Amino acid sequence: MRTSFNRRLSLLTFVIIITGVLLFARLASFQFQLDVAAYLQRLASSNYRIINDRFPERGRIYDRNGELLAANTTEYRIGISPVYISNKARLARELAEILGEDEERILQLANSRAPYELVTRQPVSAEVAQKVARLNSLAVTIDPEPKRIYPHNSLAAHVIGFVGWEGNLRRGYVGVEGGYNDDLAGQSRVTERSRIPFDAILGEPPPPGRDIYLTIDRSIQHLAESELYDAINRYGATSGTIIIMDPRTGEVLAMASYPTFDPNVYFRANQESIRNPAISDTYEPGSVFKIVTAAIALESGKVSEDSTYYEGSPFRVVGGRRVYNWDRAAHGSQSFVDILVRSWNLGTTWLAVDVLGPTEFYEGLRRFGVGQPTGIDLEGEAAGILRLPNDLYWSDSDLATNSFGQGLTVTPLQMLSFVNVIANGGQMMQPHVRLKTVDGDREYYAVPAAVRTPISADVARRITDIMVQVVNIGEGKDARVPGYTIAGKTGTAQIYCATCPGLYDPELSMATFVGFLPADEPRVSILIKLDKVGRFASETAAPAFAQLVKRLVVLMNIPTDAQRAELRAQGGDTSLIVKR
Amino acid sequence: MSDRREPSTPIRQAVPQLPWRSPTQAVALIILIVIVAIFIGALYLDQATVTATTGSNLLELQRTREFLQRAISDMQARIAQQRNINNLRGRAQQLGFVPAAAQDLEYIVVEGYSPIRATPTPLLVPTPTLVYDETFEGWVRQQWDLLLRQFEQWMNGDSAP
Repeated sequence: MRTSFNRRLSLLTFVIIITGVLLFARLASFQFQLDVAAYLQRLASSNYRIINDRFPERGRIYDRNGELLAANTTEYRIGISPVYISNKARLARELAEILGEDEERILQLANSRAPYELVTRQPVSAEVAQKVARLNSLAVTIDPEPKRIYPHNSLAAHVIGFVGWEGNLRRGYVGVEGGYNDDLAGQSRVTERSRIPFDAILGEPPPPGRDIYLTIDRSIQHLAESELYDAINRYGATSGTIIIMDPRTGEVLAMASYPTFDPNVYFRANQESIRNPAISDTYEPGSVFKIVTAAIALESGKVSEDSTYYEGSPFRVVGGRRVYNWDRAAHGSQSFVDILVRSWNLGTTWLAVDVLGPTEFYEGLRRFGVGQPTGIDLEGEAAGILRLPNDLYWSDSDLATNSFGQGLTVTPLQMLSFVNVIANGGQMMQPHVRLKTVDGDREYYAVPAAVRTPISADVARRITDIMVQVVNIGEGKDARVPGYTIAGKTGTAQIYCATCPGLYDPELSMATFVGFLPADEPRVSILIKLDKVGRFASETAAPAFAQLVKRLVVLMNIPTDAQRAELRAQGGDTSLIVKR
Repeated sequence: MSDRREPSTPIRQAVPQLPWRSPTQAVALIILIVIVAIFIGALYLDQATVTATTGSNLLELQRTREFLQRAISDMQARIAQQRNINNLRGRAQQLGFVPAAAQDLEYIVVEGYSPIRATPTPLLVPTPTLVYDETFEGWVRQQWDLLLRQFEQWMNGDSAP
């Protein structure tokens, strides 16, 4: 009997010791992470871990001075798990009070057999979510949902774009949101989440998307938008565009178009207002294009400022088509300077047909980049249309009409880029809206780059002098601003008639003014385009330009000519003045 | 009883004769095992508790971090909304400010002033990996050339390098 008891006792002892050793080994595996433990952990994790993609916070968009233009915020979706609710009536009452929802509906949801019910139809704010969290109920789930917001509403909406949905994923559309979507969105990261309570899986969240600083200055942008809106109302235009650039670097300081949209509620806007007309809409530029023709003619060396031609008739027939001046009159002997100052169509026709000829003229247009996109870093840029002599629909009359900006189309940005060539000593800088990209603690600057040199610096200076005369004594007189020497050109382009197909509208036109200042040391170039106005650009776009410049020179710290002369006399370098 | 062997010592003789010896040994052994088991179990429980508590704290910290990040983003967005130009302009007008004209500005020359301009990010040049590729023949040639140079300098009257 005793022997049997001893034997059983020994067996029990053995079992307990083995159990103890196993427990000790398990304990040691916690401490020393034995390979066996790691293996078992991996094996087990497949059952109790959830693996999914985690998306980073979207990069922000700032203006050139660090003002936030596109930000991130969070909204919350409130849901309940009916199975965990202990007092359904009470929870329904409390949630209804906080969320402002119908108590009966929430009670119905609480009584459902579904594992999860969404209580709020629309996401709620952080304040509301905090009130719900204070209920401290295990049955209530509060799921954060990222939201893109644009603090300045419609300001620079066409440049910034908006974030919408592509299936279940958020994606940027149009503008910078679209063009730089990959940078802003960042890279998602595979993350693990444990089903076991209190089991924390350490893992870094994915790094946020890159922040993008734009060349846009929100103050200048605001000024451009408000002046555009005023001009449209004042002159009865239907729509319009203002672009303000630094011709020395190709930086876009402001790009405003009307009608516009609020990217916070992009889904309420119509498709037409979402498109950026400054880069996507092409139009016949009209007389502002004479700058290009004149520059090509001067560059050829076949004419000079003293060259003259003779207008014996109010019209000239080219390729079977009559070409008139804007006043439908003949003016006898006119100089090369008069062609721009008085904006004679017959003058540019003389340059294109008699001086240059089709080969040299179109070669010059190609050097300027007419008919080619500028390559700006925004989504949806159009190239414009330029028919060449070998094209099917080109006719001899195109040589004449193209010389004064009819029969070809450009975008407003292209047109301003051509003017920038004059302002920047013959070099066209790459237009761009990205100033720098910030990735963590690294900054990547956009380096200003020259893309074309269609004319020499000397020709650019000579054309500038003529453009100054356009503003001082010519058709652009209303663009003058006291104290500043401005170079500019007006353009009133005919538009096709909506009620008389195939013909130009006898009443309405596109009024454009392009210019830069100070003429001898350009810091800013501006294009103003007003659509479907009933008057000449000299009466609409030119005074709108002056109105804009009066306030712009203050914002940009551009001294008057007298102030600059004084600063230079004191040994100052006026090219170093920047906006602070 | 007659075949029982004689104990070698008095103690050895006494111990087997104690009637309570075997049960006491067994109970002591069981108690010892139970104590060891309890000790190990307590250690295990303690470890598990520490792990769970740490996990809970980590989860809470993660939640706090995410909440704070969201709060920062919200706050930045609110600040940006408050800094809306229309708000600033309205506030400025309330305070009696009026837009400045070009003639109201005064410019002065600041000696040595250099505005901050966009500068290109310098290209990253990879650090070259040093590889020892000298051969004996190359070393001998190098020494010979050095010797020759020194000799020529000596012949020309130059000072030694």
